Amino acid sequence: MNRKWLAYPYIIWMIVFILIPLIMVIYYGFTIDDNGSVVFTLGYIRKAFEPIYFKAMMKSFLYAGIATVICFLLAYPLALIIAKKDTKGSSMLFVFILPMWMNFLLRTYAWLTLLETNNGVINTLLKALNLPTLNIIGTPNAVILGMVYNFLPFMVLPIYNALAKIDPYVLEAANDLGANAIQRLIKVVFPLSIPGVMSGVTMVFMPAVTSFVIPNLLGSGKVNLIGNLIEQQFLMTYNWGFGSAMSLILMVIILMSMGFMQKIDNNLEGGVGIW
Amino acid sequence: MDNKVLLRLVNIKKVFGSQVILNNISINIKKNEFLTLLGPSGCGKTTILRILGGFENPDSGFVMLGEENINNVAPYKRNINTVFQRYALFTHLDVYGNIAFALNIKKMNKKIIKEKVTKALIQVNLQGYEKRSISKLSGGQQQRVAVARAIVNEPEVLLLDEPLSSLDLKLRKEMQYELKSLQQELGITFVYVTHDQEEALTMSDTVVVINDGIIQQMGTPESIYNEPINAFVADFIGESNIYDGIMIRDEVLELFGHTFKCVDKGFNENESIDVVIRPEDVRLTKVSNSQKTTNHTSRNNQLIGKVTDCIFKGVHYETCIETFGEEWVIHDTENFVPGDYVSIEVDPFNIHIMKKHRQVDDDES
Repeated sequence: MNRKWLAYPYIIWMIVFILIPLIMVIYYGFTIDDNGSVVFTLGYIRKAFEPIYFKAMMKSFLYAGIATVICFLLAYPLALIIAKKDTKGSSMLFVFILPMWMNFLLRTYAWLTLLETNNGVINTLLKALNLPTLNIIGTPNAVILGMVYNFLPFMVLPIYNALAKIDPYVLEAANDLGANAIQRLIKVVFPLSIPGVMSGVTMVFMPAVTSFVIPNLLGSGKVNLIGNLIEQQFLMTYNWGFGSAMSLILMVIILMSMGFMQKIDNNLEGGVGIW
Repeated sequence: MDNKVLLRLVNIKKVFGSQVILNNISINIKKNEFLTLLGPSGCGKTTILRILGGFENPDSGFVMLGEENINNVAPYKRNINTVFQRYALFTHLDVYGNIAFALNIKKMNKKIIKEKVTKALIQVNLQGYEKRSISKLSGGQQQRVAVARAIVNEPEVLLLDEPLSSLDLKLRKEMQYELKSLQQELGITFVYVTHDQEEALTMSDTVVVINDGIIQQMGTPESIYNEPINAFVADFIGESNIYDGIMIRDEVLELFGHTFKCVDKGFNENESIDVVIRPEDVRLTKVSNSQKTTNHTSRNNQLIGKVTDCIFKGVHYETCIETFGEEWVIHDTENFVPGDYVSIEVDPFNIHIMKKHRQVDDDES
């Protein structure tokens, strides 16, 4: 029986919410309104590579990269602990994921309240204890902190998944063949969890590189990442053409890096990933 | 096989929660012996293997390897290797990487590693498979890699946990012979766990039958098959017809109200016993209509029964016969038709008498 019609709502969804907007972005990015007639241009694309914008893009990749590395360093040991202690691990995982049920903006605002230089919770406490205050709001450190906090669960979950799927007999086999706990971690557990690490890296790096709310709030407008510049073009200067051009460049870079990750993933057979 | 005891389990006891998994298990395993732990699932045989491998600790008792108590020696420090049930191969490594794993950890010379891996691959008939990825191998090939990965370390003892259970019947038979000849060639002690009695009888020097965490019987395959010590062993090793009987006096017993001669002595008068008769130890003869109603004959060791089923099994017919509400399963070369009446005749030496106790320990006490 032909059930193709079941796919129609999704096709309509894809056309209305993905395909048409994408075509519009491409249209705005490559055309300019020259006295009422629409002309093809590469000017916006070229402009995006001007030092001031290019630097913002590089900075985005740098901060997102740092945030991803920190996330990985925090998430891997945590995922190991959760995956090891089966029954207690699941409740620990639950507690860990709990904040994810709260709105992303709320969570970021909460950090703002905590970190604010003058009236923030942390600094009030530090002052009361006569300790030097913390002035990180408006610095890249605050932005990276915000990224790590918000995206850490996206690193923990896929790594946990990959670790939990490792056959316990494989671990015993490693012991049986002379590997102590550390050798086993390096030579068996980590290689088998690489697909999970790949997924985690992708899921943290992608949203981090395009984020604009976190730098807006925690960078208090002083840390401008590519996401902020795009937002400004659409909402403040109304230069939709330039905004579209920057979005396109970002999208191409992201697609390329995803393709790269996919390729690494495919080379690791029998792996688990969430893509 | 020489007579030196290599591995000794002494009074091993293991309890999980309130359940006694192993109760006072003592086994001496000789050098170069092929010893099989045989029993139904959940009988504790795998736990014994895991204690030998160092993955479980006994609650009491100890394991001796040579002169050394190895209770507290970690698995990676024991000169014992395991072939796991589902092979537990490293999927991130190729065949070579799997077999070389332990040698790499020992930081051996690369050239020596290569020689050893090549030799191990020849021993398991997988020459030229070095670069294959594990996921591209069949079940039988994975099993061979698992064996090669263990024997490349030249362990004193190789533990095998139902290694053939996931292979198809034909391959399983092939691998039985291969494992046996590999064991003889390498001169390594094999401790083999299986629930398949045929596998145990084919390969082993010694079979240890285990049930409910207790050793039921230990001996050569022949002695286990021919002289089962109790009804459980008789039933588990091969097919058996087991009935309740009464020992009237030495060499005479009563079964279904009939007197049978047997060769066993030393029971109490009128003691309740289990009577075990192997399916192949019975002679069937078709009887005429006039005899069928009487249900017994004047001859000793003979009963009349009604054929309920007769199935062709290749070498023999498996015939089911009903007598006095009990079923007999008999292997015979003659084809009977359901409804036929037959005489069932058993020679005295083919009647095995067992005490009503199911466990060795009870016998001793």
